[in-house]
Amino acid sequence: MSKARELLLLHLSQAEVALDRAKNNSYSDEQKQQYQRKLEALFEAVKADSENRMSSLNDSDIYNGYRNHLNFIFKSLEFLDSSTLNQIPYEIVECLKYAMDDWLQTSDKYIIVTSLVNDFENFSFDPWVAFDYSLYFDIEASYGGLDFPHKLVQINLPQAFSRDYLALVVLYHELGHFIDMRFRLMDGLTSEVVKRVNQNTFNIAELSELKVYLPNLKDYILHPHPPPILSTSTQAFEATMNHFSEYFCDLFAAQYIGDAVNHYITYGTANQNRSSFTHPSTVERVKVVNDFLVGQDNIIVRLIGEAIFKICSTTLQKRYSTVSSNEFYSLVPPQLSSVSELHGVMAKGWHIWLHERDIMSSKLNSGDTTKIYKVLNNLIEKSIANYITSKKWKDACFAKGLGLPDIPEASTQSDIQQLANCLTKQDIVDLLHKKELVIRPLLASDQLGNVGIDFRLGQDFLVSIQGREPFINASKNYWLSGGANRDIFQFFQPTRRQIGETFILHPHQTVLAVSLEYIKVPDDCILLLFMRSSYSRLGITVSTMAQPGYTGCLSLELTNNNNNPVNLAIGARIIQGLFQRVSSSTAYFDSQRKYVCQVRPEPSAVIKDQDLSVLNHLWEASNNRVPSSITP
Amino acid sequence: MLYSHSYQEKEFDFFASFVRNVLLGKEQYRPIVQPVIVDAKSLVNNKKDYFEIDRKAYDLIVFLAEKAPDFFKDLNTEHVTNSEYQYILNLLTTHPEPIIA
Repeated sequence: MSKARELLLLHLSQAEVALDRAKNNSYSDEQKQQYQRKLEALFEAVKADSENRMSSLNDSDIYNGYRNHLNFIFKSLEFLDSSTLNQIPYEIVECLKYAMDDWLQTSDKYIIVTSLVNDFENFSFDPWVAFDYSLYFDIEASYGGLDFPHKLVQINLPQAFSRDYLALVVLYHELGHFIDMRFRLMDGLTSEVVKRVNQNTFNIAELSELKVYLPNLKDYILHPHPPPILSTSTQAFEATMNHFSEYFCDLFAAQYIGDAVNHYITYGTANQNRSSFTHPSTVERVKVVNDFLVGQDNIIVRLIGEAIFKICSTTLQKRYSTVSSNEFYSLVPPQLSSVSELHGVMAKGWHIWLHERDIMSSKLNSGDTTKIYKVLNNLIEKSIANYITSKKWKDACFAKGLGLPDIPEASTQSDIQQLANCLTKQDIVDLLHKKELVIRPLLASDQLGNVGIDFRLGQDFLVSIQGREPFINASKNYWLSGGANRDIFQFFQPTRRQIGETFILHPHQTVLAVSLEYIKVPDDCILLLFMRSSYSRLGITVSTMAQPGYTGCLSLELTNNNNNPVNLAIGARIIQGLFQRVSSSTAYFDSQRKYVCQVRPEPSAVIKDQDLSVLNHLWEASNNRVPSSITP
Repeated sequence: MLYSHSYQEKEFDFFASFVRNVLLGKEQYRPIVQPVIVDAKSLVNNKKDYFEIDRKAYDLIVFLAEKAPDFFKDLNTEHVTNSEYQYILNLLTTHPEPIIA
């Protein structure tokens, strides 16, 4: 047997193992599940076909056929494996889908998949699987019509920044690469520009402008070739095309996120003022984006705009709205009303970070920049998630023929309820209208009961896991061996679900969940939370309350006391809350808070309690111990 | 990286194999080969520009048009002979420089 055949057998075994492992993947999106089933069918076809022909196979059959087909399986799995429920940052992916839909025809069927990589600079688009049309044709022709109607748009993003919406704006630039390659926009433009240079149809002013933005075009400008000679296989051509592509992707991103993309590029490249083979100088890139955003004439913007119009019949245009709401400064996720605001929320986040961080700092009563960074990202994430959830909810209600009643009108009477202790429906409505109470999203007005409000189960969970440490140390006493060195978070595993999906709560298990709603409790109320009776009857308990002025999703510590697992629907109304007035207003952020504007469950921060240090010191002193000689 | 083979390069390998299959009489490969040849001729004769040629086979069309403009200029795309397919195959399999398109 030839060596190529031996290697093919190895390749087949590797693919079988990889597919076996991938069988455990769980995707929320049925299209991904179907795609994986297609991969399994492809593998079976490759295996059967190659086994049938093994004795007559030549190296060309293997190298040009089976090897490529198996590599395709691996490449697809590389991203599918990362796009399971637990890992995919669906909020940003939804934003990218909206942007992608602006450019594709309905016949285009693409699935955005992500790979979280351990490389802090690796924001990239991998074109391998999306555009290998010949490969798909070859598979179809080789295996009796086996087709892949959906193609994967593979985007890498650094694991470290998967929830960093200031950094994730870069993904719009990467999506630009996908659109560019899908329509071969900048290939075509570069060829046409070089042709025009050769035909001498640019005027002198245009040529001098082009030389600044596209320095490699100088070769063509200085030595024009008579038409029709045009070579795309030169270094100058490729460099020019690379530069056009980067300009296009910057402009593509700027349509959705304004100048946010400039900030990251400027810092990442140290504001590089020289071009490289692959990228134009940062100074020119920033200028092109800024000229586009302010409507200043710029030859690069003009040429790219013309090419887009000719090829895609669309135009370069601002596709985001400025989020004018100041609710960020009240530590509340803004309520977004359109897709254009959905894109705009990230530009707003950058604006706050660059220019208005001090307002958030003042609101949080903290100069801790990292705290502001976390809160800002939480608010951006939740505003995107709320938009997506609300839209899906409305669509589902419409599909089921259900109406969406508005929240009742505010009361015309004033202050008469001030003395009431437990707030009634009308009190709550009035507070909502005055924005002293914020609940987002409030999907249905019937969540408001006569004396309280129902809250829904959110999408994120921390499930406790048993590790090598014998116990969680909820003290500062480290004399008992074990449990000393592990952060409490290490005893939990995060997991995500989509709205409408389910989460199984096992018998006697406690999980940390959050409410779907982000809330701001009035400064003069506490919020007491109980299970709704229907869920209490299933044996599920919760024990929690929220302080006056609390902002964030509600932390829900759910325990199943039943002997049977309970399958809970994400988005179901499981909690009821009662607001009770306190005798005077308190400012939540006047004291240092451990849980601030959380949108996903956060593990216990009990270890930050000052009391624990005092208690440990007390114990050490009274037992002749060397003070805190063992600490984590 | 141990080795690198871009998807564009694979596209050329695949297309070459499709042309080989056409030469072997496998008709199911002709529908993917023929439009590329037609667009290469259109590009050479300025019937289509770089914005108008098929986006999915862009690299192949540009490569063929640039490699042999005289051949495509007068090619009868309605009736491509086996020797002409063989010529196209040779263009695809004998390019020494890296493919940049």
